[in-house]
Order: sequence, then structure tokens, then C-alpha cells
Amino acid sequence: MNRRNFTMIFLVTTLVYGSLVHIGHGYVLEGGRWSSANPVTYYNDRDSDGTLNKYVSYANALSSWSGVSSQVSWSGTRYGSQMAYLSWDNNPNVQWDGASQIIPSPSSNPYTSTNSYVNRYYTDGYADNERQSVMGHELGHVLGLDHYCCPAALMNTGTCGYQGRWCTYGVYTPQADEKNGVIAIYGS
Amino acid sequence: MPLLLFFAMTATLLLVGGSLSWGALNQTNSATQGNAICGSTPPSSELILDWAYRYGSIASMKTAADTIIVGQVLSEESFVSGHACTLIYTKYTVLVRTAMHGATAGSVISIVQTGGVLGASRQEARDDPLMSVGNVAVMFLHLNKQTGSYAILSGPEGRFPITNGLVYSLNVLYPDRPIDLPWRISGDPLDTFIAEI
Repeated sequence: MNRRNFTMIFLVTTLVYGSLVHIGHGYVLEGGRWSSANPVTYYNDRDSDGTLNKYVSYANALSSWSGVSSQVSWSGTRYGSQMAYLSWDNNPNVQWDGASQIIPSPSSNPYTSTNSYVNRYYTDGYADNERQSVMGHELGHVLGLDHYCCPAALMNTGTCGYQGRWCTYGVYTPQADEKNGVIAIYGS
Repeated sequence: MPLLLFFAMTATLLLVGGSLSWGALNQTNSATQGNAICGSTPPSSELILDWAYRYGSIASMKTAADTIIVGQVLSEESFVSGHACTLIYTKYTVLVRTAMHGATAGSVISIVQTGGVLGASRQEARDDPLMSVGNVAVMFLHLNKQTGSYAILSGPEGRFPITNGLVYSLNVLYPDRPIDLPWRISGDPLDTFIAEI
């Protein structure tokens, strides 16, 4: 095989492979969305026991998604339309540290409301950025992003252990591809 | 005599009425266990759960588990919790059929799973299908010493349902669901699976 044929085969193989595996598209969409994410109204259901410092991470997580798209903004209030409730549980009998409910379903269009939980049994012991990685991940679900297993991405399912978002990769903010995912849903 | 009869009937009515009210009260309490202020049944929803720790291999789970069993679900009871009162959990009573590690065969334990059915509301995690009475599975469990209840290690990772004596992983049984597991167990004989643990 001469050099020209080798180069041609190499280029064609690379192009075909690249088109098949969608290199660079590091996000998965839930399939649903808010009718307009400008704004999504959120209510931070803080604890009343004086541990508000735990919720600075939620403020940082909200900021980390702000500006990703001009079509996405957050508005904090107790009541409103397109409500994203940011709440918590403290349950030692389950092994999740974050959970989200998309109403009526993650693939529905439009979303009517969402409830996101952190499990303080775990997150109260986390470092600030680790806690932000959980809260930012839940906000990714709120905006319509699905899990992406298991690279250095905010929407990576797990926090620690096997290929964990935080403990393996140190990720606690949306990555470029995930921002592109939100832009794919709502526009730039 | 009529006066005595009147008192006897009144006492009977009070006793019966009282026990019925107490039963109703207990039923209400069981439906809202874990959070006394939860008043109404939360809406049906699909839950997206994010695991604090993923084990990545059966060997890792074997090392981490307090208890490894073949268990059969005997009963279930769902309740509402969460500060916003929108999460349903289910506590299962499970018979230990076979104990591979940390339990006694024939004993009964409690396992909590996120999701459940309360009235017309059904909540279920996409990657952690609800168990039901009669289900049999190999389970890798974590014991919460404060509550005495067990959790299945990282939900879908630590549960291997058994059907007709064959063991499956959840991603094989539910191919249409987004269950990210680094293995596929497609009907291994139970004895073989246990021997490999």
C-alpha cells in the first residue's frame, strides 16, 4: 500500500468514525423543556435551623448556569409560574445525594414545575465545591439535561467512587458541551 | 335494668368508635412517616436519582456491603418525606432466604427504597424500578445502625433480581430504561452467581 492510499483510508475511516460516535457532543437531553426558560422561578427551601451556609452552594450553582444562554435566567421568589423548588431531605436509609422530580415528566413539553432535593445526610459533610457539584447537577436536570455516563461532566451520574463527577474529575460547574446542550434546547 | 343496658351499649359504642379512630389515626401516621407536616399526597412523578457513590464492580460492592443476601419481599409500606413533602419512599419487609454475608437465613429485615405508590400517586426512579411483594433478588446492603434499616448499595448497582432461579442485572431486565451499569448479568444460575461473589 502506497502512502497516498494509506492516507486516504485513514482520512475516510476517521471521518466515518467521527460521524458515528458524535465526538464532541457531550450531553444527553431529557427530551422535555420549559416553554420558556426566561426566567425559571426558583424557591430555595432553606432550613430554619441556622445552617444557611450550606446553601451558598445553591447560589453558586445557580450562578454557574446563568449566562449559558440569553434565553435562560433564574428569578428567586416564593410563588410564581415555572417553579423550580430547591429543597432537601435528610435520609440515611437511601444512597442518593441528589434527586429531581420533573413534573409532569422529564420528556414532557412544557415542564410545569420541578422539585430538586439534596440529601443532607451526605451533602452536609461535603466540601463546598463538592456540594455545588450535586446542586449544579440537579439544576442541569431542571433545565432539561439527562445523565451522561461517566466522563468529566457535571451531568455524570455519581459524585464519588467509580468515575465520579467530583471525586474522580473534580467537576462542579457545567462543562462546555453541557452549556451547548442547554443552548440546543433554548437557543443562544 | 334499662339504665344498665343503656350504659353497657354506650360503653360498647365508645370502645368500638375509639378503636376505629385510633386505627384511622395510625393509618394516617404510616402514610406520612418521616415528616409529620406532610399533609397531602404528592404528585406522581418520574424520579431522577443521583448516587453519592458508584461501586463500579461486584468485587467493590462485596467489600463495601454490610450484608449480602438472597431476599424475598414480604410486604411494603409507602410514606411521604422530604422537606417539601413531595418524595415517596417505601419500606419493604424482606425475608432473608440465603445469607452470604452479615445476616441470618430466616430472619426478616427492613429495606428502604426511594419511590412508591400512595393512593393514586406513583413515583419511581428511572434507573431503580420499584420492588414489589414476592420479588426475590440478590442484594448488596448497607446497614444504617441508627435506624436499623438497610439500603441497597447505589440502587440499581446492588440489586440482582432472580427469575426462575436465574440472576439478572437491572439493565438486562429493563433495556428501555437509562440504567448505567458497568456489567450485564443475563440469566446466570443462582448457584454460579453466588459462588462468584
